[in-house]
Amino acid sequence: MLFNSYLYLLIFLPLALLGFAGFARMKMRLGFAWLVLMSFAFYGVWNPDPEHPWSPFYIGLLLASCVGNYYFGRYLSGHKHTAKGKRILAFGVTVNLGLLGYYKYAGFFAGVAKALTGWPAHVPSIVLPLAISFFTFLQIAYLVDAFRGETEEYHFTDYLLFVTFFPHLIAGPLVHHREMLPQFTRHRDKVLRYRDFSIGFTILVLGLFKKVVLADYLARTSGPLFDLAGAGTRPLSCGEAWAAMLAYTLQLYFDFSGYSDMAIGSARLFGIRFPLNFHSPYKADSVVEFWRRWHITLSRFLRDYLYIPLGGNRKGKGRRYVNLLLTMVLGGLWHGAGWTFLLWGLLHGLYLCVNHAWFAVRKKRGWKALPKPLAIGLTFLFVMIAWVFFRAPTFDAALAVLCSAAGAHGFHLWPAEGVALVKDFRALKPIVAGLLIIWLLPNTQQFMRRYRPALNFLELEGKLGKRRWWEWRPTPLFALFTLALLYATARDFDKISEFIYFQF
Amino acid sequence: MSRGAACGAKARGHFGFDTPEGAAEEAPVKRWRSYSLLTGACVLLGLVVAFVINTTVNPLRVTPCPWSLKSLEPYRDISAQIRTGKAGLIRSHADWQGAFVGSSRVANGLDPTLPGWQGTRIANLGCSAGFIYESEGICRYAMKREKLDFVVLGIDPGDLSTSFDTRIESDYYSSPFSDKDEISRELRYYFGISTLELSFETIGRSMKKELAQYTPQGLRKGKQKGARTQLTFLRNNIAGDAEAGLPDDDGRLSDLNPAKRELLRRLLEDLHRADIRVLLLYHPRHALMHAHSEDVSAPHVSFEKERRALCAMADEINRQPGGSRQIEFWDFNDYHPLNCEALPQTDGERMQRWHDLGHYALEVGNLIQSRMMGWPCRLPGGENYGTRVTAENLEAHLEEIRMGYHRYLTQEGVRDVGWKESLIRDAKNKNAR
Repeated sequence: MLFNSYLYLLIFLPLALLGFAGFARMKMRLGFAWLVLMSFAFYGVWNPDPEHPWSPFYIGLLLASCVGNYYFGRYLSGHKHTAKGKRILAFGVTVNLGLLGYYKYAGFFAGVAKALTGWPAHVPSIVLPLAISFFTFLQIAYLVDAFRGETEEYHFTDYLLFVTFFPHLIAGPLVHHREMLPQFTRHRDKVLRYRDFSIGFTILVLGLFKKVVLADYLARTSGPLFDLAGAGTRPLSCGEAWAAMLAYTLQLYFDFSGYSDMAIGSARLFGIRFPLNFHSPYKADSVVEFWRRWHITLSRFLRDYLYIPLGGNRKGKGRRYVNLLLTMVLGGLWHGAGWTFLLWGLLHGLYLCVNHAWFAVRKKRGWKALPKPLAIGLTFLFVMIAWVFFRAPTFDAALAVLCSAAGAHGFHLWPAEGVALVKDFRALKPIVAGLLIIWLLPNTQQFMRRYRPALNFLELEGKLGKRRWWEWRPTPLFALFTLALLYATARDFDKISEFIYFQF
Repeated sequence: MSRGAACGAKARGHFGFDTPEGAAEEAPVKRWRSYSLLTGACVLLGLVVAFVINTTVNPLRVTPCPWSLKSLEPYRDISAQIRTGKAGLIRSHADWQGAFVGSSRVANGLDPTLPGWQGTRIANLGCSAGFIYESEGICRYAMKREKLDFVVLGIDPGDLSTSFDTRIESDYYSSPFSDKDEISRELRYYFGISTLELSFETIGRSMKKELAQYTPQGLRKGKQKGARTQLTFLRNNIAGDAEAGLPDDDGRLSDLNPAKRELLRRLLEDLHRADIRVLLLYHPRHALMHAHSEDVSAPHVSFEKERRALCAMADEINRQPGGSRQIEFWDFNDYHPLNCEALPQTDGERMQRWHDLGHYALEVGNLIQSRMMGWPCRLPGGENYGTRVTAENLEAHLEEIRMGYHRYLTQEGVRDVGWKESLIRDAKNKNAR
C-alpha cells in the first residue's frame, strides 16, 4: 500500500488509529498486536508478482523471517561472546544474506555467469519480495547486537512490531531495535495524544507535499528524458541532458525524503518516533558530509555493521580507503543488482577517498577550505553525476546523458517543438523551484524542530536556541498552512505513483 | 559513515535514546487539542463537502447518483482526464449500442451523431494518444458493461510496428479502464479535491453556457488553441524531427510487434465470438507524411506488413466458427486525392481536409463512416474513398497504393515534397554546423 493513496489516508490509517486506540485502552500489547496485524495487511495488499494471482507466500516469508530471527536472537543473547554463539551468528547472518542473495542477486549473477561462460542456459526470473532489503538488514543488526550482548529479552509481539511496523516496513527508515523496542515498553501509559497527532499529521502532510507536488512534477521531466536516452531514438540535447540530471537529482531527494517524512509522521500519530533519515543533503559541502545527511539510517548501518567490522580507519590509511570503496560498492549493490548501481557505489567510494585525501592534504599544508558556496556546488555536481548511473536503465544510457551534457552533440539548448518530449518552460519551472527549496528553505525537521520531530535530530542541529518566526507551532495559523499544503497535494492526487525506493 | 570509528562517540549518539519530550518545547494541552481538532475537523468537513458536490455534479460521469444533475450534461468536460471521462460515458449509460475505439483520430474525427445512424446510441471512446494497448482495454471494458451491436476499431498506421505503450504516459492507469488501485481511484472520484475542482469548473461552464470540449457522446469538438498557423506547425514538426535525427519510419524497416499483434488478434476473436460487428479502420494519413522524392524510381507501400497482417487477421477470424458477422477491414491510408491535398501556400491559409499530416478533419471522418456504412457520400469526390480489403483484393489494393505513391511524387505532390525536403536539408545543415 502506498502512503500517497486515498486507500491509505482515508481508510487504512484511520482504521489503524481507531483500532489501536480501542485495543490499547484494554491492554497496550493488544494495541501492538493490532498494529502488527495491520502491518501485515499493509504488506499483504501488494502482489509483487502481477503476472500471477495474489499469494500469501510473501506474507509467510516475512513472518518466517521474523520468527526465525527472533529465536536466533534469543539464543544468541544467551550465548553472547562465545564460540558457539559466533557460529550461530554466522549461520543466522548467512541465512539472511542467502535469502536476500537468492531473491535479489541470483538472477544478476546468473546473467553475468551466462555472459562469461554460457552457463546457465536459462537465467531465472525471480520476483523480488517487497522490502526484503530493509527487513533483512534490520534483523541482521538485531542478531549482531544480540551476540554482542546489546539486546534485551523482547516480547515476541514487540519484536514483530519492531520489524513489521507499517510506516517503515517498505522503504525505511532502517530503524534500530534499541531505538524502537524501548519505545514500545515506555508506551504503556499513553494511547493517542493530541500532541502526537498534531506533529505527526503535519509531518505527514509535508511528506505528501514533497512527494506528490514536487517529486512527481519533476518526474515528468526526468522520466521521459532518461527513457529517451535509454531507447536511443535520438541523442539528448545539451539542455535536455542537464534538465534530466537536475530533475532526477531533485526528484529522488523529494521522493525519498518525502517518503521518510510520511513514515515519520505516520509513526508519530501512534506516538512512535523514528530516526531522522534526511537532513538537507544537498546543502552538504563535501561528499563526506553528504553521506551524513543522505539516507542517514542506511549510512549508519553500513558504518556500524560493515565499515567498522572491516577495520574502519583503524588499520592504516590504505586499508581505510579500501574499506571505504568496499562499503560503498556493497551499498550500491544493496540498492539493486546491476552494473549501474555498482558503478554508482564505486563512484561514491572514490569520491569519499578523494575527499578524505583532500582533507589530509589541506590539513598538512594548512590550506583554507574552499568557499562554502563553491564547495556545496561542487559536491552537488559530483553527486548529480553519480545519480545518472543510479537512474539510467543501462550503462550506455548513462554515458549518453553525460556525453550530451558535456556538449558531445553540440550546445543546443532545447529541441524544436514537436520533437521535444518536455516543453522547455515546463522542465525549467520545477527545477528552479526545487533548487530554491533545497538551498534556501529549512527542511522538515528544522521546520518542526521545537517539538523533536525525529530521534537524534538535536545531535545534528544542536540546541533549540531562540525561536524563529518560521518554526512550526501548534497555532491556528500553522494549522491553516498545513491545510493549504494538504489542499495543494490533493489537487495533484490523481495519479498514484510509486516511490523510487520501493524497488530496493 | 566515512569518519567511522573516529566519531564513535557520536555514532553511539544515534542510538542514544532520550526521553520523548526531552529538550523539546512544551505547549499547553489546550493548544494541541485545538490544532488537532481544527485540522481534523477541516479535513472531515472537506471530505463531506467534496462528496456532496462531486456526486451532484458528477463532472467525469463516473459517479452517477440519483441526485446527480442531468442538466449539466453538455458542460461536463473530460479533457483533463480523458480516459476517466470516456469510462464515465460507459458507467453513466447502460444503453450504448455501438462504440468507436481508437486514438485521437477517432476522438476528433468520428461523429457518433451523424444522421445516418438514425439515433443509434454510440459512444466515441477514442482517446488522444491512445494506441492498441489502450484500445484493447477500453474495448473490453465496454464489451463487459454494454450490449454492443458494433464496434469501429481505429488502427493508427505504425502502431502495430512499435512496442510503444501509451498507457504509462496517459491517464489510463488512473482511470476505471485499469484494474489497478481500484479503491483509491473510487475514493478519489467521490472525495477527491481534483474531482471537486472539476465540479466547480463544470458549474462555471454551465453558468456561462459554455459547452464542453467533448460532446456527451465523447466527440472532441474543441477549438484550435494557440496562435500558430498550420504552415508554421507543419514546418516546426518536419524541421524538428530532422534536427533531432528522427528517422521517418514508414514501416519498411520495422517488423510487427508480436505482443500487440496477439493482443489485437485475441480482441478481434472475442468480438467475433460475441457476434459484435467489427469495422476495422486503418486511418488515413496525409500523403506527404512519408513521401520522399528518392522513392520515385521504386515506390513502395508504407506499412505494408501491417496492412497484410490486418487483412490476414480479419480473414482468419472470419473463417472461424462462432460469430455470424464478418470483420470488415477498411483501409483509408492511400493516395486518394483527399489524402493528397496541397499544403497551404501562405501562413493565412489552411488545408480544408487536414488539421495536420496525421489528423483528418471531421468531414473526412464523416466520409469514412459513410463509406464503411454504405451511406451516400456528401463530400465531393468521396465516392471511392477507402477500400474494403479482403484476401481476394489485397494484392491489387497494394499495387494501387504503390501507383498512387508514384503519381503523388511525380504530379500533385512535387511542390510539397520539395518544400519538405528543403526543410530537412536546412535542418541537417544546421546540425552539421
